[in-house]
Amino acid sequence: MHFEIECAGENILLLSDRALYWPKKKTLLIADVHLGKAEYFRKNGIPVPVGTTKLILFRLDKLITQYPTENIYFIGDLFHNPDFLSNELLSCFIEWRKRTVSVNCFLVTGNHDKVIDNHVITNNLHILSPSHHLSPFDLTHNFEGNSSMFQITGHVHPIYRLKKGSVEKIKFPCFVVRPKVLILPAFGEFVGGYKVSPQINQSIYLCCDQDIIGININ
Amino acid sequence: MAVKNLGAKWFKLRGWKAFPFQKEVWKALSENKSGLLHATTGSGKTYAVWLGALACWSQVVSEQHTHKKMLQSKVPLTVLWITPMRALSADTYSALKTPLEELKLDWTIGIRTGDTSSYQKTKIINSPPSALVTTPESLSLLLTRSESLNNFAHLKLIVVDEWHELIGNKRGVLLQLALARLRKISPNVLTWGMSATLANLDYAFDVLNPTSNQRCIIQAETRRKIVIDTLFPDKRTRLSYYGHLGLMMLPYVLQEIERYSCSLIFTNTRAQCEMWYQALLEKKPEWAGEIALHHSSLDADARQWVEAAVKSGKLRAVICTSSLDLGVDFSPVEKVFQIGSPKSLGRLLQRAGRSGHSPGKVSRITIVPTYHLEYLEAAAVQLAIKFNRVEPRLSLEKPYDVLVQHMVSTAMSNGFVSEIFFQEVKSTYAYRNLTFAEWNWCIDFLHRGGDSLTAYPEYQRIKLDENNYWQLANANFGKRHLANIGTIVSESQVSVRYWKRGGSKKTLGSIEESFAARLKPGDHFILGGNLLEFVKIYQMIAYVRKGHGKKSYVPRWNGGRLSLSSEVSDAMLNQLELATQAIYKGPEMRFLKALLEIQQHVSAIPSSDRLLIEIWQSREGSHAFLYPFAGRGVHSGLAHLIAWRLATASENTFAMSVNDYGFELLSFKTIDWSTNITHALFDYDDLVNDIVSSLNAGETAKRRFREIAQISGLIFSNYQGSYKTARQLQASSSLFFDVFSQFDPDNRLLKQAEIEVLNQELEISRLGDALKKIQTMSLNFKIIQHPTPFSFPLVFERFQETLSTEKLTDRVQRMLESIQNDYPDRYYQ
Repeated sequence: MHFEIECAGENILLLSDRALYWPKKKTLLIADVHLGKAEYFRKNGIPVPVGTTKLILFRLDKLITQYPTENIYFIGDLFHNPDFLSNELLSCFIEWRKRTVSVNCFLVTGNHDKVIDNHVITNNLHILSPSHHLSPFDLTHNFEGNSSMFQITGHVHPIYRLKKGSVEKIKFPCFVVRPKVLILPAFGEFVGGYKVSPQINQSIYLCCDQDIIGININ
Repeated sequence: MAVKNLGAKWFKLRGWKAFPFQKEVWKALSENKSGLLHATTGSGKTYAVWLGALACWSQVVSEQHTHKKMLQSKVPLTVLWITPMRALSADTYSALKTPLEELKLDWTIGIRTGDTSSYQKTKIINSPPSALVTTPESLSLLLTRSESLNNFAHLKLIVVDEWHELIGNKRGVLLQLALARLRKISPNVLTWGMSATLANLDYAFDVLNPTSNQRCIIQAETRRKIVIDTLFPDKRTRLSYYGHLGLMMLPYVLQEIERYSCSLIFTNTRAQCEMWYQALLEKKPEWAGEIALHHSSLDADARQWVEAAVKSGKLRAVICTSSLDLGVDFSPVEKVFQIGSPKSLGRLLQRAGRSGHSPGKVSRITIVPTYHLEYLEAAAVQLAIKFNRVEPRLSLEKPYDVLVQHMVSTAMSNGFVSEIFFQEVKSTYAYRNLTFAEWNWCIDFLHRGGDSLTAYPEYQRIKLDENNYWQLANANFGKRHLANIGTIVSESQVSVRYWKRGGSKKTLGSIEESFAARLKPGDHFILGGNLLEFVKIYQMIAYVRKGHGKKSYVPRWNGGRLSLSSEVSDAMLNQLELATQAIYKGPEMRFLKALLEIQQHVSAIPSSDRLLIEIWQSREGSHAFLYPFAGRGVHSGLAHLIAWRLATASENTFAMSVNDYGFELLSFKTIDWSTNITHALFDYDDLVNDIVSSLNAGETAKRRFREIAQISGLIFSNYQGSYKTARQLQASSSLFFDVFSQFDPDNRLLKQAEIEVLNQELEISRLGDALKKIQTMSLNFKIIQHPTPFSFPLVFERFQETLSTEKLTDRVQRMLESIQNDYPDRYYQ
């Protein structure tokens, strides 16, 4: 279900559904949802089945009921392409916000949703600057080298390829934890990934079905 | 007015004598018949059909017309000449041109392939030549232009060269659809196929001419002599037990090359081609400039230079891949080498035909085995050819991906009316059994993304106009479609250029994106025989400079892997049968005698009445090696089936590896094979059900889906200049596979992937035969301490796949535990 770690003195839960939960602040942290990716593909004549958006929102609903939530911070790339927001997507989104009206939603903008001028969205989300300070953390979509704070980021869609010998291979989305950085896996459906591996000072936590499995090198 | 006896006249002019088959073709053409011409390579097929066509439809330019006038002649496009390869088309073009000039005929001739400049392409559409040489892909592209449709209205004859090369694959299906289109535009057009290596002539005729009611098949009696032999190392050289490179055979190949003035050396992969070229140059630096290499990832200029140099006899040897398989007339070539297994008889004969390429000469090919078991194959191949058992080639059955592509092409040109177009498509051989429901699914797929229940909003590729015509919905999509027409699927390619200030325009060739992504600046790799240092990658171009130093990579290109044909594998089993009786016939079998005796001693020789099962316990787990000798495809199916049936009995994960001789199952949990492998495991009932279930657990269908996704336009390998915007439209075929499986499981493209795996990869009918045969065999278990000569290649086989029914978390825990055992300094929880 979840696995508890300590970051910058705070207890944080890594959730197997590819999100972070900060119990003290009743806050969910989520990166790279890429809402509207399927719609954007369809718009361009590439048939991607319907259902990914609903599934994503359903998974969000589930998290909110499982973990008492007052705030959700989306750490970049909530939307795949804000210039092509279909009516269907917008109405799904509005409906979802109606269901979750008691939750404050924030968006730290990322490379995909740098500029958002759609009122439906700006009325339903608090748009934050690309680097938002939420003590003791810095929320940025992409890792920034010169920050002195503990950073929580997304962007790279980390995945780990578990390999045994040359034969058995399975891929998992994963969390990457370094001394002052935590990288979230992509929350969205229908998104690819970038391979990472555990290193000295870099542990990874696999989202494996209903479990979180950690791998470190000491 | 037709020219009487034109063929005979020109032959006389050249001092040649027409063969009877050539006269027969001329007669058939004058009687307005479609046909199929089967004759060995280099026997004059081209002139048989071409002169026949000229006799029917061309005119001698009258005296008063000047030469200049002749070039401006207004004979409409009359003959379409389709060759499967670009290399071949240039050659055909000049061969066709000669009689036109010498006989002063009023025809012009043009060529259109992927290598043609855009200026020429436009010219061909605006003022079409009387005869056009082209490839199936270029023809499909021509058919997307409404202007060019009118050009085909006067078409009299379509010639398909090397028809055997197209009949069994999706390129052939694309061509069948294009032919149906052309027959619609010019209803009385004749179609002629030409081939040198076909086993099933009646069938091949029917696929090409599905609407014709009388078969006109002309078979030349001239049989060219083909000498096939095998290269042996001397006694001191120890052949490796596995291996695909075969470089230890290099000294012997060198000796052979020196004996002939010009040789072609065929390798099975592009990487092997590069490595052999390097190794040859290292051994014989003085041959620099006299040897060259040729494969499809080299730049067109480089390829054409090599082709011209071979023709003019400038080169001593060319290392090449299947890119030189076909028809090119390389008269100077005296000798052909085949490095490694030729896989099929047809292919071996085809390659052999590259040498002695003119009537009356002898073709010579030498098989160079890369490891011991290939000697067995070499022996088997020779025997099978002696009895003339070439594999039949069959057309594919209604692949949806090709149809969907063709429908978009047609919507782009003039649009189509559903019912009428359906009849046209149904007139092809491949789609003769297409139902209207399936047809409507394809329309729905293009229109709404799927059948009406799961229609995708916003999505539209084609739309219905007010006249009930389906038209292209979006011009942007059309552009992408044009750039990706065809059915040859490759990973997205990165072109390679020299790094220069201001940018170099000259392309060296291409490498696969996944290989390029792994390169770090300063890394060295080899392409086209040049050592290159990687500088950087920018907008799908890899920039390089001349490399120095020793350590370098060889790019890996993913190509298809061929399965051994049943003709070859049956012949192999026969040879082994004799070996069990201590009869060793022929030099190859005598060479293998010592090795087979070792095999007999530590285990047993596979035979056709006892199924050999070798059991080996290693650090990795429990291995079982089985040798049904049924070809890679069938073995892959058997491995999936057996692993699935074992894993459903008790949760487990198996790794599999297969080759043409047998397969290996590896259980990571210890398992007692001798009690688990029984005849019941090879049960024929429920075969299809079990195989389909096993595929869902494996990766095979996913891999197959890659090709389907690309042909049907789900993913695009070629974005032509729009790299940045293209980024947001990229998704891998495996993402598509997952999203379809989850949200649209009835999608017919998924089903097609399943069917293709069943029929083409696992060869389900051969698989069924293999199961029935195993039921009659006794199981012969042998416990081995080390891999035997037969199992060694399987241990090293790189194609490996796993099938698992364990719970994911359990599987991960087990894998992590074993990783922890291997690296005790890692901590896990």
